[in-house]
Amino acid sequence: MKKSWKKPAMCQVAR
Amino acid sequence: MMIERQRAIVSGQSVPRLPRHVRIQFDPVRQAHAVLSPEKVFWPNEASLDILKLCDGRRTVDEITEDLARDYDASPQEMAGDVAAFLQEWADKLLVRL
Repeated sequence: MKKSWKKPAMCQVAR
Repeated sequence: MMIERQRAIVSGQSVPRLPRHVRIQFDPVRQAHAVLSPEKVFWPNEASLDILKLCDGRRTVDEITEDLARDYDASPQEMAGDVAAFLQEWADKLLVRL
């Protein structure tokens, strides 16, 4: 089962 | 004093890697991977995490895109623009070296 391609993105947060 | 830095531009033949100060760490609290840099913490979505894991300093951007296409429901041609744009953005922020 192949994964669905979504535009790569990273959100910045701020252990 | 200004330090001039030449902007690296992503191409299919670029060989991206994570600099030493950037690492990917699994956060057991959130059950998700975080990208840690000295001043910032990022939560990548699945596609960006998979891209960063392949930035090993050996694969070219074209090879990374080919590898991703095996796991995703899109062709390398469909993904290439997204992959290059993502790597360019993070190279500009110095979180990826080209």
